Amino acid sequence: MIECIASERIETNCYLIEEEGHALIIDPSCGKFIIDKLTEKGWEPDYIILTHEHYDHIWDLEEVRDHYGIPVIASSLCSERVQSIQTNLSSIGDILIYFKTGEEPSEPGKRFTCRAAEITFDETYTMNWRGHDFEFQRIPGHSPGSVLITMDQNSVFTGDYMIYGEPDMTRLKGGSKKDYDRITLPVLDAIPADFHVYPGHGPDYIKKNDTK
Amino acid sequence: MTNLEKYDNAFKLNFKVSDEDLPGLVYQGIFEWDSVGHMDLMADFEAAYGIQMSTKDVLDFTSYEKGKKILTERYGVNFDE
Repeated sequence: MIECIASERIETNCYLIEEEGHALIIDPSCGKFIIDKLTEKGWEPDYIILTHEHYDHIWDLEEVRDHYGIPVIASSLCSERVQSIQTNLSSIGDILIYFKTGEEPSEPGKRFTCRAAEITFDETYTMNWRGHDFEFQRIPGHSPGSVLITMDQNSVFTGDYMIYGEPDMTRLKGGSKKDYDRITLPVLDAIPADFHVYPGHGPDYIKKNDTK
Repeated sequence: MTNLEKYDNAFKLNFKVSDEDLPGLVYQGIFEWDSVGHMDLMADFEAAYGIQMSTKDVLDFTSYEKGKKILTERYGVNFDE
């Protein structure tokens, strides 16, 4: 079972994957809602997984990891970059919200850093979690630490790539159009049609042949 | 590197412009200085000068000249050093 919780602040999706009463948390963007949902469902989280280092995807990482005392999985570059307000972009978070919504945030956003992940990998990582196969592949372009997470050869968690109806963004600080074109675009294009796409913003959807 | 050099370099590196392009440069006056470019520029100034700019000042930062004024008057950045 996969549940999505969208944070109020910038509508960043957090996904909870459940199996046998246990859960994985992908991108802890809204701590209270995550904890409330897990409590309500009676699910015990095992890991936190990060799609990339940007502030809106790690907004409540420290709160959730401290609450449950569970390890974080991330690419090495993501792990490194969550530790700086410049590279996790929390230094310009309010401005991002303003440009996205046209409204100044009602209260100043926090500028924050997170601790390094407990489990890191440079380019790829695989694991089996309660019968589910996961493959992690670093796909730079949007950010150096971005990762594609493939689950059971039928679903992908794409972070800030493949957001429905939006072009992939490579112009934020740390982004690279060159890396995107050379490394990431071929990977995204190779995702088979009919895979279920769970992006970091907006609705999930089924990939069609003519769309990323 | 002087504060002025840091200031000019941020524009030149982010927007691929040269020294002669800087006077009169305004927000959304060139393709590269859009909202995304603006955020990158502000992040560079914060890192270069060790400051934290308010949202209001970031939004008021609408030209090369006005940016200097804001950084001088609000954050004490000295461009005459």
